[in-house]
Amino acid sequence: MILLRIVCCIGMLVASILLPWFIVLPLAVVYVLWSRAYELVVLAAFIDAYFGSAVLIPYYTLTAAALFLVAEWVKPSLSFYTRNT
Amino acid sequence: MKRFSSTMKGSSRRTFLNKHILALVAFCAAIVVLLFLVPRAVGSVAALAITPVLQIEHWIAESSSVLPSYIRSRNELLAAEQELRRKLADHAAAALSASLLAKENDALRGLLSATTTSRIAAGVIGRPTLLPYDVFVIDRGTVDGVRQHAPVYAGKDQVIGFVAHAYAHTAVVTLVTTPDFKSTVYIYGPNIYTTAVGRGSGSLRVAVPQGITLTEGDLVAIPSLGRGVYGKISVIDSVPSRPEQYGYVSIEEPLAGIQFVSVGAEPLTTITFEEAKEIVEHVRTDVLSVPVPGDVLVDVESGTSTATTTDEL
Repeated sequence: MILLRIVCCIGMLVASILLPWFIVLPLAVVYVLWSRAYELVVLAAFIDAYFGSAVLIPYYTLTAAALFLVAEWVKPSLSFYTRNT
Repeated sequence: MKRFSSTMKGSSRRTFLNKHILALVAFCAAIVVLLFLVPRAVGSVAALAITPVLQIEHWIAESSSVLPSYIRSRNELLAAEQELRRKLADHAAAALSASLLAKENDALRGLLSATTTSRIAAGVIGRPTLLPYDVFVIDRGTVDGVRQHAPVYAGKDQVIGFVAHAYAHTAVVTLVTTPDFKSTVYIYGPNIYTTAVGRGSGSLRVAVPQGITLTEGDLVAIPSLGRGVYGKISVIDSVPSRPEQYGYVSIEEPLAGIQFVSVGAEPLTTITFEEAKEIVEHVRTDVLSVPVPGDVLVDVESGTSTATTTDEL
């Protein structure tokens, strides 16, 4: 499981650098619903720190954090999560 | 009892969820705070992860090594080869005259005791539309002498931006055209100073009142980025009913076509309005003057000397 998460994390890093945002966003949604994606927020912070040095608002970090929090908040209400628990 | 138990269960579950969400909010807030407090440190760590990705992508897209050549399509390579052959033929024809002109230029600069600022050549390994932000990533860093806030040139005098962050082996270049990036510009033609706002993807927009005559082709200079014209107004968006009109400034070569840039050795410094005026005047002289030979040129000085000679006779 950990290995799979590492591979997915690297995949998300590559995708977020090389692919346009409208492809990365659905992938991120799937990722945050699939697992508790702390690493997604860290990855987004990396991208903002590296590329967005001239931009005041860290768009990637805020979007990833919002996705992550909303997903964690919604998860208990989703049927396929509650069924598993 | 059953009712009480289920209420308690729901309540403790809610409390757990609230605590859990609060912990996650705290984690996200910590990341954001870290990003604002120590952006350079986070950027340096990020460079370790991001640089290899960019280099591999650049290698696959543009390297002539065996593996990336296989990966790229054959047709694409053939088209690129044809284009390169054509360019090579063009360059071969221009090379001789260019070298002669360069020698002549060096000789003239030597006579004038002009100083030349050294620059660092760099390859572009990431450019807008392929990157998360509207920036360039170049393959030279602090190890090669690249410094933060150094100007970045696309041609001889075409400044396109400055180094926002220099890492060990790479640097991120903020472009003048980065969205919402504001710069003071001077427009030749109406001869006005105004503020230009980056629109992304190599486009810059100036907004001026309706009374001012903007013309397509008007040259635009950014004094704070040093000597040189930035580009020209390519499109004007003017509706008489609106109080303002917009001019869109573009550079000669599209950003997607820029393969190499040069980085100034010295970082940019904040300039005063007087210095800006001096720079603008210098650019205007550069733009409008043509090096006419002395015996052909007729100007006030030669007129005066002729008149004096006539008087003497």
